[in-house]
Amino acid sequence: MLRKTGMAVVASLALAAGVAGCGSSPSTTSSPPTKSSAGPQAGGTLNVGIDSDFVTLSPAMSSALIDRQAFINIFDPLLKLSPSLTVEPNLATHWTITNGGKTYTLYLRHGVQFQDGTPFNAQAVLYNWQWEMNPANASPRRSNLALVQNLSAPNNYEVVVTLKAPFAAFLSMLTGRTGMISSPTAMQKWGSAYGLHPVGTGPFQFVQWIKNDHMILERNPHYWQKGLPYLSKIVYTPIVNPLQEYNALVTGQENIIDSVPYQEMSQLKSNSSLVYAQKSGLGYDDMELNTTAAPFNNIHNREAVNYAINRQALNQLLFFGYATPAYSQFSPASWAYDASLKVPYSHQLAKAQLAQAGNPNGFTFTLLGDNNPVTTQEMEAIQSELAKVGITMHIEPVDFTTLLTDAIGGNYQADLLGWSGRPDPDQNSYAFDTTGGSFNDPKYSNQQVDSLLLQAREATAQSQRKALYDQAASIVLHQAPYVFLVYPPVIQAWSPTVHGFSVYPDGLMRFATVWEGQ
Amino acid sequence: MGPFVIRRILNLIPVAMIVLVVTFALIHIAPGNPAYTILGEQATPLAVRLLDQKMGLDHPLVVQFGSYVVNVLKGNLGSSLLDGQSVTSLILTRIPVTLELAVLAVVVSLLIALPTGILAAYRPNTWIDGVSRLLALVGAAIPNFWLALVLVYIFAVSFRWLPSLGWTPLNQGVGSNLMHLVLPTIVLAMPLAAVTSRVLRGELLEVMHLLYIQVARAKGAREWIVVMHHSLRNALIPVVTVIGLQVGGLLGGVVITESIFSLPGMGQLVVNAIFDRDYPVLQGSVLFMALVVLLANLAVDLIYAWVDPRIRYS
Repeated sequence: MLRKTGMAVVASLALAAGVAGCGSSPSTTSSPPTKSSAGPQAGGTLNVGIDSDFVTLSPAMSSALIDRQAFINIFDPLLKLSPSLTVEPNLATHWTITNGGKTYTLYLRHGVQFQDGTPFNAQAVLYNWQWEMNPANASPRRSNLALVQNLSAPNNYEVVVTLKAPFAAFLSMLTGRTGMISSPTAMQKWGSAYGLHPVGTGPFQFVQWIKNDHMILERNPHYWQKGLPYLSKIVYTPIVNPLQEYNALVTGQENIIDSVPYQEMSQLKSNSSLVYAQKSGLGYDDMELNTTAAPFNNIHNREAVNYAINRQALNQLLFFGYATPAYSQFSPASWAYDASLKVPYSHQLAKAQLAQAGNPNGFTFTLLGDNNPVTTQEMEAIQSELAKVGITMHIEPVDFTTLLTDAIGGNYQADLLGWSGRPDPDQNSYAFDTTGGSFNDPKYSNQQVDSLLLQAREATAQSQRKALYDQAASIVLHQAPYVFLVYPPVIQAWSPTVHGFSVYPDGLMRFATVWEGQ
Repeated sequence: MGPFVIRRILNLIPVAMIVLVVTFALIHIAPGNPAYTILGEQATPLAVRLLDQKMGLDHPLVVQFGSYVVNVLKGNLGSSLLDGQSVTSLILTRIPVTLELAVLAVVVSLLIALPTGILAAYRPNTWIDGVSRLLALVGAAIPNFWLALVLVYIFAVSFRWLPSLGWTPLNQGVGSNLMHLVLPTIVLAMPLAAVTSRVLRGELLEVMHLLYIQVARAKGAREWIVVMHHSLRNALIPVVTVIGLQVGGLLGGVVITESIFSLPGMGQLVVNAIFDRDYPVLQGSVLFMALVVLLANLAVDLIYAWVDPRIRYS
């Protein structure tokens, strides 16, 4: 699981923008896909531009968002996400939830093979999860499975998961990397080099990865969905400069790209030889305020920042209006989104908070952020907003690992991180807002929030969960351990010769049903 | 000459040691370690500690450095902490890209610098000199990432004459390989050409006022022989020095150029290793690049002797 960013390198310095790519916006505009009279055609190579290179191809060892672009096509998750974020059967054909929401029984599809011929079955699922739960393997998936008390396989096609406590987001998690099962044969064969030789059950199998250059996948002839996929080959090319990624689509070097710089949107819209679609994303951009250190251990200073930032102006300036102002961790793509939740943009309220905090003339602090041009611009915009109410903000651009280290270690006053988002609201709030939560960088602690979010993860009815999330989100907004800024949208563009592609809120490009034609 | 070369090569050893120590120290001063790259948000203190153990990063720094140096002396640069690829093979797959780009950039810079420098010196303070000066000014002042994007817009996006990015290995087609390198080469060559051209002009002007040139002219030597033969050769020594010094700068420019044009070379390898805190990859690549710079300077010294036979090394 990871916030985006990855490595927007030195080079993107330039006029470039639009790295974000992991967010959302309310409207779903789309230029009409060109209809072809002929049906899907088999064959062809799809050239895909992605905004950074993969880090690892092992779902068990991955934390970078970009890796998921490859995983979604090499590995079929146990459950799949629909474009409207509902959980649907996939390698698990059905499931039951018993024991007060603590026991999940997953029934697996018969006759599925990994790309190396190893049969896909309950033992394979158990092997993967036990590997991930073994502390010695230091898998980033371990915390996803922290609630698992017991795993068993009564037969080849049945997996029984017993949890320590009810966990409503469990199924949703199986649509992501935790639900992506690797061939145990390949994991044993390659050991720590498995991340260079992934074997899954998905529509495409791995062929070659030359870092910073390209990765090649080819059609999996044994794919369980007969007749799919259509494409014979996919070539991913990492292009870290956002403008260059767009140029590669315009010149035809790439057939589809995973993100479009916002400043190129007007050009893209007027270009009749390209197709694009925009969807609300799952993530958000936000500032994290360290509640254990001055000046943000004072709630009034946090609130002052919350009121002083003009999110609408930020959206216009940096996202050319394509994003949506954010006031919570739940994006407009989520059922937990509450459009009525907001704080006003008001210098008067901000100054009143400053007075209450005991520093009516403002204070000084440092904001850490990733040293890519987009984030730097965002930091500068925030700086000028805060200056209007007398708050002096210093900007400190650092590389992503430093940012992460300082954020997790609590060695900061404020940082600009953001979150790429997950389908279930629990995955976007629980670890962030509860006391001692693993993503709780601000070290925020509020008993009421703890209790509301715990109830929400243990409740089953969506309406009940929604009411709980509304209450928790309102408290978090007004106590401001985070200052939410915008929900960036997912915008992807492709050549009209690419058919059958749809944009998902998670931004992952699924190519099983994509085909090329005139 | 022989002992000189051997001595110079032996001199590389202490310099390489210093490079190793400085690189090692700098990257360890930076916060974070590869565990944070791998674990991302999940980098809780416990998870980081477990991963450190797995990667051998829990040993004291002195021990880590010691065992690294021992391995390097055995010719083993180690393997990537992220994916286990051997550092030597990573460097060997990257070096053809960077080497070809750097060599082409130097050649193209000379193709630009020699005529403009010579013409400017031959007709100082005329419009020719003015144009040459302007070109040099522009070449030196334009940031390479900006020039890169402008060239892409003109030649790739608007005219579609050249690819906007990417790389084809030489063995998969020389034509395609060169087409992909045209724009990156120009971007890298421009600042080099600017400096070389100005240095050449200055040196030539100085040499052309010397007595032996007047003698040559008095003997009735044709003007272009005076310039190309008598003057140029003597003006070349500082030029060769400048080119040698530029190799270091060139490797710096390669980092940005490779990243804009998505070329899988040394520059991208180093940048990613820094961001990922992939210590063995970073140390191996920096050591390798430092040796390249040192060898380039050695080559410059040897070229001196060839350009000016009066120079002898003992």
